Amino acid sequence: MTTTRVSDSAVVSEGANSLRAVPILVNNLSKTIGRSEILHDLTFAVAPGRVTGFLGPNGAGKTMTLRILLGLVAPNSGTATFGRRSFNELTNPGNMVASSLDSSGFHPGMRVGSYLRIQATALGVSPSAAQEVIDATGVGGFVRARIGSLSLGMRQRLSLTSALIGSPSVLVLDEPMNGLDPHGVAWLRDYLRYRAALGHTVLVSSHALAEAENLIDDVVLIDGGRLVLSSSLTSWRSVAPETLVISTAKADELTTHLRDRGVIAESASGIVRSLGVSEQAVRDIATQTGIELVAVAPATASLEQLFLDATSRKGIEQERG
Amino acid sequence: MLAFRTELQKIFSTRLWWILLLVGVAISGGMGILIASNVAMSPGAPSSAFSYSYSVAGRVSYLVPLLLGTLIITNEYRYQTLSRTLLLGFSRRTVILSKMAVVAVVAFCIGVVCTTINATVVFAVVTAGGKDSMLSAPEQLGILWRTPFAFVLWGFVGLGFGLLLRNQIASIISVLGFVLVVEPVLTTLAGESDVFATVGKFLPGAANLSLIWPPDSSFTGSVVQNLPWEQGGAVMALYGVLLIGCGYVFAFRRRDIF
Repeated sequence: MTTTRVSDSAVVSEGANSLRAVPILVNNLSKTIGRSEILHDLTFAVAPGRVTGFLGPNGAGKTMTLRILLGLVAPNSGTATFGRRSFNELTNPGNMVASSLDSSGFHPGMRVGSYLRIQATALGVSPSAAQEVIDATGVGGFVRARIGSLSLGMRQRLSLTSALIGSPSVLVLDEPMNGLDPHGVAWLRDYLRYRAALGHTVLVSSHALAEAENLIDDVVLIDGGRLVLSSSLTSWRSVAPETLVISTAKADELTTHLRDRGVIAESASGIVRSLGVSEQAVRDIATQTGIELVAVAPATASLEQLFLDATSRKGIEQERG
Repeated sequence: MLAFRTELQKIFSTRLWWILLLVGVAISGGMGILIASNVAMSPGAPSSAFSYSYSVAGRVSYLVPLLLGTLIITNEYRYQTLSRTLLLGFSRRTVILSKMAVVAVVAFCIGVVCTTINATVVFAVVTAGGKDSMLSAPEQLGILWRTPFAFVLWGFVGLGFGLLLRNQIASIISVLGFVLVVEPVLTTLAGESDVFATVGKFLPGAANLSLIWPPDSSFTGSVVQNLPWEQGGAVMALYGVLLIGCGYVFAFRRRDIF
């Protein structure tokens, strides 16, 4: 599984679903289990031809949203559809939508080859077409192995393989990078970008943000079952509040002063990161409090930083709220 | 049809089917030899002693299709494979119908093998002992051809059990507990009183006995087999359909799968 194999995936997708890729539409989705509200009035859209990152901290409701979208869980209200149809209303959902929810859910006693043959049978895919996907994802060398003996990474590859075997036009993948080695991650990134370029709809949940950074065009960020943000990564970056990196001997002290003035700030090993405050304001605060600054520099927010800011800001707002 | 083929491939891709088959063969063969040499070979054995020997598969080995039906569905819960099964795009109803079809086919085949083994060992023991095997008697032939069908019905009962209980260990314990403890106790009770007997003949074990080995040939000491085989079969089928129906409606059709 190396990046050079991406050219092979052209072959893989030749027989791709002739249906045009449809957007994924989530409208006012709510789900309550017992007394806990897992999803609250969630609305977002996932456009074809782009890779959309579905982000959020653990327990944000990502997997629940995907399970509802895939017809495994019934929502209390709202809809999650492919175009206008729910998963179960699609003519041939298994072929149209590739889904990989996690790297578990295999019978450990089954051999890799048997499992893939069963997938191919179920989806009505010819053995040769299936073989191309198998070669591309690199599970071909393991067909005799029982699934129970595979590593996490190999099971993840197997899960992806079985998802992609039906040449679908919509991909819904939950944490597909989990357990993959750097080659695997690079391959998957290129492959998903390639599928998006074909006009397919690609929704990828992740909390591996550094890996998602080079992959996604659009971001859907949820937290606590609510939508925090849905936009393109570029515009998220452009509206994100300015982040400053401040070097000082009294990092903790400066952080406290900044926070007293309502500025979001955190310090780690002598470096303070502040958010949404100008360089001049920081310098003023430092002068007032007699703290000597070594350097102040604007930082390009990484996806991780954007994520942390968006989720922590919300937390602070809720506390204040 | 695609769903059926998928389920069929699934059952043959794990070790389950041949382990169950082996258990069935061991019971039908082993107990067949034992019973044939003890009962049918005893001096002056009545014809029912032969039926008793030829019905070992149907009377004892039905545990195998019962487990098959239970395991085919509880495996999906135990290994959390149900999501993947449903994500292939088959509706929940289709999944259950194809599992029923697979249980029917596999249980029938296991039934044929068990019955053949059963008949072969009894025939061999009796013939070796210099007696007439009685194998061509209509009574024995009836037992032999009806046993595989009884296996299919037991498979359905197991599937319904598994659908309702979901937990594999709980299902297996319940199935074994029912077959080995509850059913014999109830059957014994039914044999003790006329009141119980009227109900007792509709118990699965008694209905099964009626199906494979109908009453006119009852062996001394056995009880409540008071239904003609058609009715015994109908009662068994009813159990299967009711259990699967309830399991599907209350525990499968709308259940959230995490």
